[in-house]
Amino acid sequence: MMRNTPRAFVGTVMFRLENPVSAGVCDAVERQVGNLSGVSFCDFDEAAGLLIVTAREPVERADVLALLDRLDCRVAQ
Amino acid sequence: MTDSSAGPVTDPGGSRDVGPVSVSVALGKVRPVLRGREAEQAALRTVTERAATGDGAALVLRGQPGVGKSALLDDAVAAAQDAVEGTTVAVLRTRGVESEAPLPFAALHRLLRPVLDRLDDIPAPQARALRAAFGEEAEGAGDRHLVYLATLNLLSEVGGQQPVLGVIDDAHWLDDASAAALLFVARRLEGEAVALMFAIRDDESGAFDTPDLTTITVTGVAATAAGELIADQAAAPIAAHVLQELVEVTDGNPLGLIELSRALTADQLTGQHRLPDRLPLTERVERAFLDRYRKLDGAAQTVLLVVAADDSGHPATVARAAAALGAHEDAFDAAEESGLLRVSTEGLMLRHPLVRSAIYEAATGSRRRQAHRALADALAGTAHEDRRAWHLAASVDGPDPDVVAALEEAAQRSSRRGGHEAAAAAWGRAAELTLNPHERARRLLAAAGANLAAGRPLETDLLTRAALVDADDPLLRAELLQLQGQVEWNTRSLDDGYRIVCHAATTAAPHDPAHARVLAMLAAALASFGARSADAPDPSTIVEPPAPQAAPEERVAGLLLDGFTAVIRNDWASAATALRRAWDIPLPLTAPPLLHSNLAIATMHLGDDERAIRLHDRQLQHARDASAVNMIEHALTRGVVFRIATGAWSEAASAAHEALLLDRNLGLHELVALPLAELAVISALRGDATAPQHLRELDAELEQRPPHGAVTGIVRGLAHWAAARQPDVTPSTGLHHLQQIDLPVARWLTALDRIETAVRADRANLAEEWLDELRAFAEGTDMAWAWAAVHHAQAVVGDGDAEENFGKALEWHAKSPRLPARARTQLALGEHLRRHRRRTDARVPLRDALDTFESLGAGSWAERARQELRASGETARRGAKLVATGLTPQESQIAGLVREGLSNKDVATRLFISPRTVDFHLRNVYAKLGITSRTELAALAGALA
Repeated sequence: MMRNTPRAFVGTVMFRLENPVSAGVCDAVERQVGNLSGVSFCDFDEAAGLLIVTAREPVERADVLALLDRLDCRVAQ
Repeated sequence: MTDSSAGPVTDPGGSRDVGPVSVSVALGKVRPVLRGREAEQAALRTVTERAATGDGAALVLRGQPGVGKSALLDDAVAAAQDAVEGTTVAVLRTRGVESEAPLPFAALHRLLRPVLDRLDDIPAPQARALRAAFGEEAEGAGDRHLVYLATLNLLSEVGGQQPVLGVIDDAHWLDDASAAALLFVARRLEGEAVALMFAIRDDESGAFDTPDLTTITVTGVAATAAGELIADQAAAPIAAHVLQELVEVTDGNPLGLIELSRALTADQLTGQHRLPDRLPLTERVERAFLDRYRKLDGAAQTVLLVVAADDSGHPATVARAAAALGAHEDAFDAAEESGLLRVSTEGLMLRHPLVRSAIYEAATGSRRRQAHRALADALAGTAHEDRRAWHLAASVDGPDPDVVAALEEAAQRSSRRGGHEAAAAAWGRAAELTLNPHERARRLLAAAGANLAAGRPLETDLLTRAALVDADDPLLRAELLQLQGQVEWNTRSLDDGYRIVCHAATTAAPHDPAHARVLAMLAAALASFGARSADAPDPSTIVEPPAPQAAPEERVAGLLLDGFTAVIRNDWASAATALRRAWDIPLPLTAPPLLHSNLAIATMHLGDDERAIRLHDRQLQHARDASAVNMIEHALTRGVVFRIATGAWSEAASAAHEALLLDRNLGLHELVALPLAELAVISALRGDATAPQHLRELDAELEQRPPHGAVTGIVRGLAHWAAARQPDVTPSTGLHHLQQIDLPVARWLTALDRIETAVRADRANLAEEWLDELRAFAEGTDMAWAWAAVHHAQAVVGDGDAEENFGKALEWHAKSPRLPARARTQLALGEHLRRHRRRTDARVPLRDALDTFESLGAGSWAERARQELRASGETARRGAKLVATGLTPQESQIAGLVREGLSNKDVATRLFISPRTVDFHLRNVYAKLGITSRTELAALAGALA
């Protein structure tokens, strides 16, 4: 599928970020992704550069990516 | 048939209407003429011409979207056909399609489809593997390297009759499996009548990573050519300052020049009105396409959206899907008239991939889902089950068991074809649509396993972490932890990997003690090669020992666990007892593979050379039968360690070279250090003139890629051994290296060198300490080589009567297969006797030593024995020397295998290259050696260097 093909998910998905992010951005990522409808847990593992998102209700992957893009976080492919 | 049979959505014929093409008439034919591309055209022509003479190569065109890569490829095809008018160049074409990422080997299938009738010309296992990869055979594809080799050999066979030009457009969107196969071939075209040309966008490479291939960066055209291009297309004459601005804005990108000038009004073209605000080029071009799209009516827009969402190019499929969304035949006419869609006998195609991205991205999520659902319904009941599964997955907005079932079936099909990346993607997507946490974790485990098989440890790690969030079942958790541990010790930290495997064993222990015991055994094996963790339990305490009447698998696991645990504690008597009992229990072939592999690995700890060589040779044979590359490499390199000890140095060097070529031919760079270290040790022990060069190569490799995982200790140990045995190394420098050898396996291999060097460096206490350590090992294991080394070392440190010690050492040597150590004792005894003026007595052991050293090709040792013999009054003969030839490592390896009696086809299969490449190298070998036949090659005396 193409990169913007609809991709709703439930459960835990990991997003690996390409570059280190500051503590401020890290907080913003956790807060804003955690506020997405359907997201039940969001944690940023700074050491590993990993964003861990758990959804109990369907969440559109593109919504997470768009939010990260707005926060200037590039997700590794 | 594979799902690729339908062809790509954009431009299956390869010609894409991008800017730099205008039409002229040449020699009675309509032939596109490019503007301002003479240099690129010449480079492409050279590649084709070289291939026609058997000097094949690959070339990559890299550049922005719309810069004219496809047009250059079309031109290269036309030029190739013109150049050999009357004869034939076999032109094979394919392209990457973004939406085909989950369809393994889809693009490769399209490339090879015209020549698949030649499959019977390549070895049957390879032909079977390729058919299985294309879904034409029910049996699995086996090791995917066999598919790669089949691709190379098929192209090579076709090239044997007529030159082949393979053209791969949009290579950045190739599915992973096709990309890997084509990269494998692209790096092996030396001596083949095959040229491959790839086009890649410079902003993405996907799985097609090509830093080592010759690349031409295609940039924009110059102002003159830009003016000609616009003049070809524009409705009104363009003002000079407008042309200058367009060239500046587009950087001379032909697609940008044409699309932006086409979007301008006549007043803007002539400079009466100012140009619109600037945007990045790609966005501007996409916006131009989108403007055209939005001027169409709803039905035509629906048709274009369905085509953009489709990945088949099948008019019937698209028509059915569009009709389901209310767009009928006349809507296709409107879409075609807009210039955004082309309809031909080859299928439906969009004008450019940027049309697809513009239209698809502009649609709402809901409209995209509708389009995918309509396409999935249109594919129902067809052979395109994989495509249907992925359209279904894109059509739902939440968990759906039917979609999950379709994805799982697609994953299983991909897995059978060797499309591990595609299988991982399908299982991963199925997990994302699974509501039940246990089922979700199970599917993530499958996805992680497929990623590991595809050689993608990072992705494996991410998926196991995600699965562990959901997995409650302890046995599932244990499986996930085992996988996570394996990734950890292979790519990052041996200690952390060990800790995770201990955790896996602890998790499984209350629920499945037999499985937990295998995991604990694995942890103990890692610890026996140096892994440590303060946070991990002692593996031996995790699970109770098996009952005496337990199944053989359980008893072997228990004994191996005991043996490895004893090794960690330097309790050699217990280790030897447990490991020998484990080896004595017949183990069924159905036993867990971890048991079989660790039975072989355990031989290292005792230095049980004959058993080790037997077990690793058996492993090697099974691996060769299955063409299992990683296992072939493993068995070869482990077997080398024991061959170094026993003095089978030619065999050892041959096996290490084979492993090294395999690693390099297949891009297994992380495995290169071990065979390099082995070659460095062999050349150092022989005293070859090339020993320093081997060591430099090893050092550079270790600096660039420090070894990971369980091989770290043995690689470091061998590297220090090789460094200590370099010519002219002072005792203190040698000792500095030898003191850094920690791993017991490596300490035993180097025991005599360590003790001798410590004595020469005036470190008697250290020599005594190391002798005590060796004696404890010999007393515990009763290994003959170890006792021989103890007695020899006692003579060296002055512990007891030297002659008596050497005599006892030789008695033990008679029971050991370690010829180099025996010859060293004979030499040392001879030296001792000669120094004590017993020159006649000295000659006997010195002659024996010389014979052995000469048979081993150990030049420096043999010279030392000769000098001693001369000092004892005997004129020693000159020994056979290595034949210095100037052969490259690959030529040397091929020559060696031919001398063993292997045919070119067998050599090719062994080294994962084509028979034509073998022939190419063999001709170089003949030229360098001044011979003309394999008979003469076989008759050459001595080893080739």
